[in-house]
Amino acid sequence: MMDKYLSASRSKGAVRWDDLRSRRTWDRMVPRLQDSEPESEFAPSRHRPWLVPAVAAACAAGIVVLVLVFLRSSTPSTDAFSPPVASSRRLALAPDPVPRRAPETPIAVVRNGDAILTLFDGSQASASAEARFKLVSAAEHSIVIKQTRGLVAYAVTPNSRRTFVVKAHGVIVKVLGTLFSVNVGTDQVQVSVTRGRVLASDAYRQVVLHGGESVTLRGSFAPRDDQGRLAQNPMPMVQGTPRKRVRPALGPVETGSLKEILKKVDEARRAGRFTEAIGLLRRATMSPDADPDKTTAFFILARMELSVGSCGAAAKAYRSYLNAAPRGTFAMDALAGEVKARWRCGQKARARALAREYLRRYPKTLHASVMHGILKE
Amino acid sequence: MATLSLLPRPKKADLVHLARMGKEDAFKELYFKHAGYVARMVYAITNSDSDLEDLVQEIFLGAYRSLPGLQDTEKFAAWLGKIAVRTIFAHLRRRRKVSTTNQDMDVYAAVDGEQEELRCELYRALDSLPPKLRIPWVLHRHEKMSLGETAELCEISLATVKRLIRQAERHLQERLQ
Repeated sequence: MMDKYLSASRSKGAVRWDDLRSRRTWDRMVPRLQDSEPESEFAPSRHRPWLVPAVAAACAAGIVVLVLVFLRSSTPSTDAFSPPVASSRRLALAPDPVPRRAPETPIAVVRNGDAILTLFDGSQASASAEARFKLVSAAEHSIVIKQTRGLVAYAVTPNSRRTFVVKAHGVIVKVLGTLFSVNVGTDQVQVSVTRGRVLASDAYRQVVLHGGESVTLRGSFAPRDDQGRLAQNPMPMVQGTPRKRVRPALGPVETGSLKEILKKVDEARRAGRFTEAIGLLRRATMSPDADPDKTTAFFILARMELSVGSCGAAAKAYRSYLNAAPRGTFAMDALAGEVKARWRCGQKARARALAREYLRRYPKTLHASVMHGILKE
Repeated sequence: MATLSLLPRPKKADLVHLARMGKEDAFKELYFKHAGYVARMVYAITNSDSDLEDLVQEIFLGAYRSLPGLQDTEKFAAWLGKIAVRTIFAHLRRRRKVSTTNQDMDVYAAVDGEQEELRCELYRALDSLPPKLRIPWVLHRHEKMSLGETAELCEISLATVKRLIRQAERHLQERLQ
């Protein structure tokens, strides 16, 4: 009885898969291929030679950690924030005489001679071998670090409800954004911002620095008169002039079709001219045409914005793609991308809500583990 | 001057090796060689034309990501088949969870003639099967693969594959009577 169904199905159920369809699928896959990283998670082979040594190493590491915890807990200490650093590297992390308790104890590790301090909110301070800095307070709404010597790079987790301040010889650096460094020299303090915004000030001057800008301030290194007062206008007060902020331009006005613009974007992207590619893509997404390529442009733009660290713009572009093509080919990746972008922006509540939405729609897909991780955090 | 077309074409194992090193052209050639095989398998199991391109894309993306884990470059097709079965399995499980109203309309939209009618009946019956019964049955009975091949693609033992196919056959016969 089953044979008649099978022969009917075989005779009528030939797949309509031609060269055109094959090419179309390949063309749609190429951008995803270029952004894919080979991994072994989905390899069908169950032979995993690395598994035994990895498990053994993890067990050994676990035993070492347990022994260290036991040893630490058996020696009474009054220093709530003293980190487990090597004795050769003196990293001053002692709190104020009356310490304000942090939600969690910061963790400090030494890697290749550099000390990395990770705070409870995920912010990191990476100090060079000769640097000296001290965690003055680490409360939920305020983190204050006092830096006395050397170069320390800070990567601050964005949080509008918490202030992050670095004090270095009278120079106060108030963090409004994310990635910056403070270098305390013998007679000046240099503040350089890689990404985000920082407010640097001393007794004379207050400067808002954006990504790519740096400034040198004198702070308490400024010359004083006989009575110990700061001179009225110590020269040179600001040795480096802030560089102008470089923003990706909208790109040249393109008269060609959307397809041609996207081709140029591809060329620029492959040549590493990301600013130009982003500018062109922004222009492409502004075109009034209802072209299916426009939705693809939103997706590519979002990925590029994320790769250059513009999380807000990336989230916006992902949302535009999802609004234009809610069931599009890249809808799953776009939703995952929006979650990641919003998480990096500090919009954690929104990111969590979107992660739940993702897991509801695509429960067992490539990004599911990342979404679970975000929801657990 | 020798042109590129006069140069000997690389063997499949070499192509796999090149693709593993990140050569996109080599992977492209592998894709065009195997896309038809993968598409046929996807369509035979899912019977959905609208999901076909997305699934083929997912399968090849999964393969690209997993290339470093491929042990034997000679067995690329079999390895790709396993990835395809896994991806289709996940897709069918997802599809069973969501409402199937629209998909039913999409899949069975054009019913024309007795043969089509029989085919639609068969796939309606298959839709009531869980993927772990459906996939081995389709591969063995519909695609005429041997029990050994089916077991290898589904990554289960020969005894299990026989049991699952028998179970699926019994269920289908009940539904189609």
